[in-house]
Amino acid sequence: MELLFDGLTEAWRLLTSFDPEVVRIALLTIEVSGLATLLALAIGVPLGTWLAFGRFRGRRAAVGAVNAGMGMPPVVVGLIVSILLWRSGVLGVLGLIYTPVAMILAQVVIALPVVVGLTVAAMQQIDPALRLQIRALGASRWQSLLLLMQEAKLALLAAAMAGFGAAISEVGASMMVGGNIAGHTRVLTTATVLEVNKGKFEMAIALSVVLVLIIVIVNVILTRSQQRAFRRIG
Amino acid sequence: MADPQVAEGRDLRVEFDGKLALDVAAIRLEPGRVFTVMGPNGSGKSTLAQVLALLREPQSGELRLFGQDITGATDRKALRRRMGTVFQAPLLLHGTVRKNVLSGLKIRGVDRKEAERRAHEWMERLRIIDLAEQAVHTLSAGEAQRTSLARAFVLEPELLLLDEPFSALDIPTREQLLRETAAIIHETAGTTLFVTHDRIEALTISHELAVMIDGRIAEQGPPGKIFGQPTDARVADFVGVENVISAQVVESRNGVAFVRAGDCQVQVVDDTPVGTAVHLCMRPEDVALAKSAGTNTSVRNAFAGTIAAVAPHGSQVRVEVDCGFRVVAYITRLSTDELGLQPGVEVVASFKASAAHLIER
Repeated sequence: MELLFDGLTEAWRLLTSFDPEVVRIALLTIEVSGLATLLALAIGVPLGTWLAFGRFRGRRAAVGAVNAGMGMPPVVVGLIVSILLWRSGVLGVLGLIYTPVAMILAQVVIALPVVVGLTVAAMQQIDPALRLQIRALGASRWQSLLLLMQEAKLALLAAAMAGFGAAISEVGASMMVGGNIAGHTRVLTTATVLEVNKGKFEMAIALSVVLVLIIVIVNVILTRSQQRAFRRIG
Repeated sequence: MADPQVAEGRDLRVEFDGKLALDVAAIRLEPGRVFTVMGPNGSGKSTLAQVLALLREPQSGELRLFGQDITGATDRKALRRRMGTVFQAPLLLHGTVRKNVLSGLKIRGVDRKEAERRAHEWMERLRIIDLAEQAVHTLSAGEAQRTSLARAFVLEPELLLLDEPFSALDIPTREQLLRETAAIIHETAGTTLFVTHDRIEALTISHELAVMIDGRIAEQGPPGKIFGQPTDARVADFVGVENVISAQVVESRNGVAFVRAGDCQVQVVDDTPVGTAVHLCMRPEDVALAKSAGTNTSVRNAFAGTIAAVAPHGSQVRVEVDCGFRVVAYITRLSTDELGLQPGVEVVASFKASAAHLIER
């Protein structure tokens, strides 16, 4: 109990004093996971829409694979991305291993199945007759995609929240491909693991509080936008 | 040179899972005319509309739209942008009435000011201008369908496709919206394909009428002809000629056919040759019922019979009489009460020789 109390007190001190190390780690975390989520959305929403409505052989198997991918352990993703980016790996020449870019890539791979899977479900809930009406209005493929995204806005915001949650909360992949280098690739999850390993629970608790705060704030913003949309469209 | 047809289809065939849904030998939509496709549920009329709207690919057949041959390489989106479509459900996008009315114009890249002007004009015309900023989920069924119609009319389409746009509405709303839509279509002289299963709608709005049965056009012609003298027994049944009786022509004199139906001989103004097996057809509203034969000499057909069934039919009463063959008559409720019509009562059913017609079997 004392440990927790001390941890919270320390967390409060670090937060209110804007400890530069904590701020740097928090900002990098937001940058890496935010960008990873945006990339996952940019790729995942069109891909999910295509999987939802496309007519091609193996579509069901692909949807099954995506759904299975939602449960992919981050450690396995980290391992695969590490092998690819390793200096002797296929993409080793890019020199990305142990960089924030590598962490973003790994988090995209983790968030992508979540975004795609939820997009497939969201799009398939739209009345097929409405899709017919959108085509009848003369919409191009991209116009159709934009209109369908507006129709599925509530569910797509949920996909964004779930994707961000998956990205920011993983630790294994970031540790492997980022290396947890201080001031370079250290994010809140990897830093927390390090502090616990060192027995510095106060710092670990402080970092965890910041992590939870970021997740809560981002989700509150997205939920407010989702619920405003819900009130508008009923 | 004559105006090209707005749409022209030949041998259009669609199958769903190997089952025939559409097999139309020929269809032509002429400029400024309302072509109505009527038929029971599942007869393929909506499939035909979707093929013409380029929303469904026929397995075979030729289709020309606005003078262009539709082939795999044609820019279908550009052709769809020359059409406007309204379905049975309003199928509105989330948002306001204004946003929906503007949606097709926005897709077509119409200048914002011009789009706003046209949207305002059509919202006024369809009496939804006061609802412009209202979210569509708050609209009544009639208001929602008005929005959907405004969204189509505002595009000033070269071909308007209306796929049962009134069938989900309550009767007063349906009648009102039907009248307004018919007035707009006739005023704008827009080429229209109108799909319905409702006889009143078809009569109100059409220049040309095709009745579809089992995926095929069973009969086509002016509405008066189809409703008055259908030449196909299934069409006759569908358009409300409830009396379709198997009979045979036994004599023909001065343009009048004498037809044997059951034990009775019926006179029909028709020149079908003697010996022909026919369906004797007449509309229930053309059959009169009385307690005795009376003195009306213009009525050549009067048959004594017994009432077999009496059932309410909207504002009227449907009376089935057995006179050696079954005849259905629609009688007003007042007359039904005055004549004391009920099962078992003996009556005389009469109809004019010109009110019946013959279809060869």
